[in-house]
Amino acid sequence: MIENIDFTLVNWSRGQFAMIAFYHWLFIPITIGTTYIIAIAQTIHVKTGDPEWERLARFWAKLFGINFAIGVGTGIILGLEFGTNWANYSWIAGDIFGAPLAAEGIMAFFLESTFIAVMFFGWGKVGKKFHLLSCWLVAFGASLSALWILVANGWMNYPIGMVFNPDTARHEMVDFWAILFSPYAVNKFLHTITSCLVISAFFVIAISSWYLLKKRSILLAKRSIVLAATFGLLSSVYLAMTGDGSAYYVAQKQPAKLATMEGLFDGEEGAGLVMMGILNPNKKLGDDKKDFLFKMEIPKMLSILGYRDANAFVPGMNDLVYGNEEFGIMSAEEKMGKGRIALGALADYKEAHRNNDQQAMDEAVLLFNEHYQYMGYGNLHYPEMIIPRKIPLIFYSFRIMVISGMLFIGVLLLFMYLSVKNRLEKQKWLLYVGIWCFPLSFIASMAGWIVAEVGRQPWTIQGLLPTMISTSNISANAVIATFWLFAAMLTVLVIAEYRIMIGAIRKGPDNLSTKGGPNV
Amino acid sequence: MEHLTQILWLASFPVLIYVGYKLSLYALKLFHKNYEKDEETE
Amino acid sequence: MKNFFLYIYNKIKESSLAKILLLIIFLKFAMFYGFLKGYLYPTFLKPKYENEDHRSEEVIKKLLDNHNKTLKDDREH
Repeated sequence: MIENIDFTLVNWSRGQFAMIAFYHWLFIPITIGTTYIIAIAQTIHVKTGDPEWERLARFWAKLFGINFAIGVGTGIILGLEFGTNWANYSWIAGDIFGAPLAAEGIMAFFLESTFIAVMFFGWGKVGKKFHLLSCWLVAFGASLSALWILVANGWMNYPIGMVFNPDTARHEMVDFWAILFSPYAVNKFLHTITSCLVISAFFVIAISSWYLLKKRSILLAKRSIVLAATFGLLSSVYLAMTGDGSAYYVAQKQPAKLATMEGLFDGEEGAGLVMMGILNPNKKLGDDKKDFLFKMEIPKMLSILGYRDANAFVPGMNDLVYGNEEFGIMSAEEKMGKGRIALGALADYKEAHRNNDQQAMDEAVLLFNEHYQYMGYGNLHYPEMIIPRKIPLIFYSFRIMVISGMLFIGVLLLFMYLSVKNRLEKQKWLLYVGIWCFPLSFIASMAGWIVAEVGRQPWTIQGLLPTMISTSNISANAVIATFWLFAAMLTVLVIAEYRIMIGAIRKGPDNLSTKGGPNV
Repeated sequence: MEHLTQILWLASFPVLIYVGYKLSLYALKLFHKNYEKDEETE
Repeated sequence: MKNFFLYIYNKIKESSLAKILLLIIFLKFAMFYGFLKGYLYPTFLKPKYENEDHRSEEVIKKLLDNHNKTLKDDREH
């Protein structure tokens, strides 16, 4: 039925991008978050003159350096993939997507790289204040890099600030500020960056807890935990706040994603938020089977989160696919009709252009613009396609993320309280919890990305470009071959990271000099 | 002006870092007090 | 400035960890930029377009081909 789309190519291209992004993300949060811990510790050293604070800063900077050295450049492959596996997407969105990526390369990356050299090699060699400034600039530079990438990602979820040029088949930027300050992008940045801070807090807590269990570097470990737990606790509360913002913007801009996250098949007024539940695996769109085998929900909470109104109607997947006149929800079929009018107008425009018929061109552009926002629907083959296919994956990933996030607030609160009271050593169980929370924080964060990216399907650009149209005209075998090549390369890097990092942790901070010299 | 809300939200990030820093200092002060007390007791 | 770089060079020479990390960075960039970006992608994996016009025509063709196929499916149903 859909024989002109090579789904092997589409699926392997998606799989390859997801796999590389997964590996890339293993390095990113620690790079971003640990810099703030280092900068704060070094600030305390400069203010107090206590050399132990410099030792602490240098130790975490050493681990940061290992992570940075091994992780740097893994994003290059993602950049290459846009041109090879996602050539159509890169063409259609390149004018908008390219700008933030270029800004990232020029501004943030150079800022970050330059001052990393000073931070890493400047201990005791450059002026203390300049060195401290470098530490802070590395931290803000890394966050700024993330901002540009997440602005690009935010635009894919909520495309604004552009027009479609029918001559070139490209979305062209008309309002840079609307793209940069898109509420979706800003919230995405804040949510993602604070997740990096929480992961880094657990990175520091896990290693310090291990030292406490081994009775090594006790004061450094305790100070590190106080610092990381306080900073992490504040970040985790802010993370929950921005998570609420995410739910609101997803409800406004991507209702199908929200319905999938909640396993909500039929819309409800005053909808509850499912705390825990087991989806009925036999439930399909449009049937009347029970949607859950079991669920516990907070009444009205989904309506409050999504619409700031306890009685608001939250559309379910069936409403979005088949429409709901009572609540003014257009069916997917109707949107597909409008999308086809847009694409038909584009075809007419090209024809009129070939015939040099200006009047027909103008009419076609007018008709196209009228239906532009539904353009992507014109390429869908059946209405149910508007719902992401992996409903259980999205539903359970969302719960893993949220429940872990709540757990982290509690754990960080406990760590902060007991570390301030200097009672951590007596609570060995908590030290083990601290160690295990580090991998859990990564799992929660990956689950968040699954919700965001798998939940956006079938779109690359929400409503405008389906993923199946975004791929390149290359052979699926080439993508499969490079998948395994990249998987092997990146696995080697992760093993190297793991071994070198474990070695540095085992060696510990005791032999680190505070008399200058690089941090290696 | 139309982006003021988002600019303020973005500005909340450095504020978060600053508050985090100040809160850490306060927590460390309390920790050092308790740590020194415990060291003396031992 | 010259002293600073000499200092860095000497410190790196003394540290085995720095040498390993620099070797990893060098190998990685040789692989990413040299092999992947310089050879594999342009030779085997880059979609072939004669120029930008050709590329835009191909993209529009894909958009419209799929659209026409969708209309055909509708008629068959």
